[in-house]
Order: sequence, then structure tokens, then C-alpha cells
Amino acid sequence: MFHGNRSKGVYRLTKIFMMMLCLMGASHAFALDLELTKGVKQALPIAILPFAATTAPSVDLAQVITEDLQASGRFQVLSRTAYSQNPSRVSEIDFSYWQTLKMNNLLMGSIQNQGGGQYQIQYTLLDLFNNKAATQQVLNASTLSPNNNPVLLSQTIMVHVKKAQDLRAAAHQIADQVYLALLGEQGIFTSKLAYISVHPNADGSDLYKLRIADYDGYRARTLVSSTLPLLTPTWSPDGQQVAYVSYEAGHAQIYAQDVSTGQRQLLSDFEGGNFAPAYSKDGESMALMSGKTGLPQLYLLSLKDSSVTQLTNEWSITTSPVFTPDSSALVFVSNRGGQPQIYRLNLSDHSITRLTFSGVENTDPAISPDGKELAFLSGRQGQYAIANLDLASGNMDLLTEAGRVNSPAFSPDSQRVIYTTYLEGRSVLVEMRADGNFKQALRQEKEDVYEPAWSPYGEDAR
Amino acid sequence: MKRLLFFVTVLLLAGCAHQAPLMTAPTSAVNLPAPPPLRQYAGSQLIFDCANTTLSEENQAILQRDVTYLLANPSAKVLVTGYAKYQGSVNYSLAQTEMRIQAVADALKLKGVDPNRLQRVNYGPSDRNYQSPNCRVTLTYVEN
Repeated sequence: MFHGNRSKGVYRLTKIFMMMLCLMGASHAFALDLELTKGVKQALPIAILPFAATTAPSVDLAQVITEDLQASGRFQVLSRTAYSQNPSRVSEIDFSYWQTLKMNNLLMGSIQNQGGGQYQIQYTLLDLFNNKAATQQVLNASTLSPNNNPVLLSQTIMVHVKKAQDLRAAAHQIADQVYLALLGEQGIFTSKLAYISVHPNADGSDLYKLRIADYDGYRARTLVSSTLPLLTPTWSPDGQQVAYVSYEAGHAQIYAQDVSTGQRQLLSDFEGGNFAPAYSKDGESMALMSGKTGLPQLYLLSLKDSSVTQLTNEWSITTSPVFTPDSSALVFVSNRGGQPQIYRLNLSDHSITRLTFSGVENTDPAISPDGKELAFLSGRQGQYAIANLDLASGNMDLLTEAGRVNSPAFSPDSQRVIYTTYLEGRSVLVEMRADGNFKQALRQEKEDVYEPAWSPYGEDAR
Repeated sequence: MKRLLFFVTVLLLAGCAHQAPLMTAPTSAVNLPAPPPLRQYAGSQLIFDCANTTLSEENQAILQRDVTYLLANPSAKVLVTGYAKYQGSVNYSLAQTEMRIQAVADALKLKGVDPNRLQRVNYGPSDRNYQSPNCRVTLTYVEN
């Protein structure tokens, strides 16, 4: 049964199994992620101890941090059943015990409920092998010097939350700190998702919602809801606004909405529709598609003075504009060659270069924030896969199997791609690594979700 | 004219959740006399191949009935609404729908219908849960 293809088959089964389990509840995701990280080289082994608490908060901070680091594929978090020691302060750590368990790092902490939604959270990250005093079984404060201090991070933060679930934000913040301290890279754990959800009403009509959630799908809240369709949200580069298409006036207009205040602004209302909004990286202009001259063409709207420049003027379709990270060019879709393919428009000399060559239909381009990769939807006869093109080498990979996948978008660190697919008849969000590994369906309510957009790096304020 | 009546049916708006919404008078704090209700009549429904955006000969023949109606009723406006199946890129599908709406607008203009009488609405695949079974452009006549 297995022959030569065993590992691939097992992997595929694991993927499907994982997706099913993840849909049933986030608590299952952990065990499966562990399975998946087993084969990954260079996943850093780390122990994340349960945070000490006088009264256990409803959010298990260590569990959230574990899920964050595990899902990144860069860490292998030690299972809670694999150790028996539970030190509550640095001086109680038995270094040789954790070294025997082959742990590089250890995170420990505490959380104190101070009442009225106020929490004090303390956490310490240790490098178990940088301890020059490790021959001693127990770390003694007198042996510490700047050169052999195993403490990489030690912080106390005060958090005020309205709902206990909001403690997840503090856990994500800690995960970002750990990620930065150990890998030297900014984490994405405080970034956000925006997406459209559709709920069928009892009378058969639909309710459309623009929702904002944490990057892991938790803490979703509705920014706007409408009985008429909402489409294609996109983040402003400062992460403060989401622009989207709304049919509330009976035709498609582009609105921008402030994520914190909820304040809305009508940005574009050309006759002939307003679609596919995309912010430039400086946030000063927006590219969009409109049929205002009859054919779907691209326009550049200044968000400073509302002036409009027509960018394309073809007898073919042009749509799905996306700015390159340096905003010197737009990547877009055109069927000028007969079938839809992805092109690059240089904004200074207006030259156009074709980027995709293989595949019948290539649409929905997303450029990685580091500018190196292009993810897109590659289709043939109604079946679609997410593909990835390395822009330097021109190598193209399929990241998913062909089916009803849609709407790829990159994480702010360029390392992950989110998209939608159908599972058990429902359109769901799936995150994966940009190489196609670690697919994980996100937690969501009983709704169909579409067109995810990933925010820039998070800020504590959001 | 009589020949036309059998396919021109009054739309019951309440029962037509997926039809384009009516243009309504803006709400105002001032009590203005209520505007006369708009009357809408369904015109043709043109089914397109979802891979295509051009008007087939069959659709051109169907559209001739709308031309006849619109030329005979010069005060009527016409709402040209495009829908598409939710499949693949939403933005590309909207662009294709835009092309189909334009193909219908061009054909009406060619037959003498004043383009200013047209109002275009592109729903594309936006009604995702309803899962439009096909790609189509519908005509709706609006009279004051």
C-alpha cells in the first residue's frame, strides 16, 4: 500500500485530518501541529510552561503562545505531558533537566488578576545552553554575569481587558517578543485579518459582514454589515483602515473604514462600478478597477486630492491591481493575450511585462511584502489551485491541489499565505506556509468567509 | 406591442431578494410629498457562457424584443444588471461581467436606444451564497 510514496501519502492524510480537526475546535490543532513539526529541520525546541496564576484565567496564555510558535513552523514546543518539573521562578530551574529534554529555550511566566479587568503578566525567556554556569544544577544568582546570563527576556506588562478573551492579545504580544528574541525577525502574531462573511438569514436573504479578527481567526468582530454584498477588503499600509466594495447604494462603491473608530468614508463612486481597491505602500493613493469608460480598466485615485489618473486603456480586461512593495509598479490581471494572465505595469515608463506563462488562467495576484514572490490563483476548467512564482528565478510551484480554492494573500512577514477553500460545504479560511506546508483551517463561526486580507505587522494599540 | 406583453411581467420586489435594489428617493427630515412609486418590469434575461463576454447571435435576437419595447416607451429607463457564478477570481469575474454589460449596452445603442437611459449594475459573483447558477445580464425597465 505504501511503496515509495509513503511519506507523501501520510503527509497528505495528516493534512486532511488536521484540517478536519481544526474545524472541530482549536484545542485539537495543537496535537496535529506537533505531528507536522516533527519532520521539520531547524525547528527550535522550546518549553513553554503554563503561566502561574492564583486563579486560572479563562485564557491559557502558554497555550496561545504555543499555538502561535508551533503554527509558524519554526518552533517545536515540548508537550506538557513530556515533563514533570514546573519551576515558578528562574532560581528553581534545573538546567540539566531541560537540557536532557533537548530544549534550547524555556518560557515561563505568571498572570495576576488584579480585578476590574486589570491583569499583571510577567514572563521570562531563557537560553538553556547559554548558561555558562550550567554545570551547576541550579542557577545561582551570584554566578550570573553579563556573559553567562541565560535570561534573554524578562518583562512585566499590565493589561486592561474588557473581555477575558482579549487576554489572547497579550499572549500574541509575548509570542511576538519570543519570536523576535530567538529568530531576530518580527512575528506576525499581533497582525489581523479582514474578510467578508456571509450569513444566510431565516428568510433566505443573506447578511454580509466585513469582519476583523486576530491572525488566528479568534476574536472576530464585525466592522460593518449589510443586506447587500460587500467585497474584497484591503488594508491601508498603516493598518488603520480597511477599504472595500459595498453595494449599499445599489451599485458598487469603494469605502474606507477606520478600524478603531469605525468611521467610514466614500472613496470612489464612478458610474460603471468601483472594484478591486489596493492601497499604494505610502497610503497616498489607491489603484482600482472601474468600467466608467465602458471597459474594465485600472485607475489611480489620489487619496490626498481625489484626482484620478487612468492607468490602462485597452480593449481587454484589466483588473486586480496590486502595488509592488516599492510602489514603482503595479501587478495586475489582463486578458490581452486571450486568457487572463498576470502582468507588471511600470508606473514611471508605463511599460508592461508579462509575469505568468504556464497555466491557462492566472488571476488574483498577491505580492509578498518582501517583493520576492507572487502568489496567485491558477485555474483550468473551473478547477483552481494557489500557485507561487519566485520572481527572481521564474520558478512556479503549486501550493494547493486544484479545487475550489480562492483569494490568496501574504502575511506581513511574507512567510505565510491565507486563502479560502470549501470544507464540508462551507467556505473557510486556511493559512499555510508560503511553501505550501502547514495548512491549517482557522476557527470560525457558522458562516461562509471570503476574500481574506492580511494586515501589516500588528501594533499593541490595535 | 401586445406581443411583448406576455414576457413583460411585473416584478414583485419583495419576493426578489437577488434583484438589484430600486433607486429610492433619499430620506430627508423634511416632509416632502412622497414621490410616485417606480414601476419595474422585467425585460430579457441573457445567459452567457461564463468563459465568454461577447453577445451571441441568440442573445442578440432576444435583445431585439427589449429594443422594440424601449423604442416604443421612450420614457422608460433600463437597468442593465450583470451576475456571474462564484468561481475563481472575484475581481476577474466582475471584470468579465462588466464586459458583458458593455456588450449589451453597445447593442442597445447600435439599435437606437439612448445610452443615457441605461443604468448599469455589476453584481458579478458578489452574491456568493446564492451561488448564481450561471453568468447572465438582465434587463429591467423602470418607469416613473
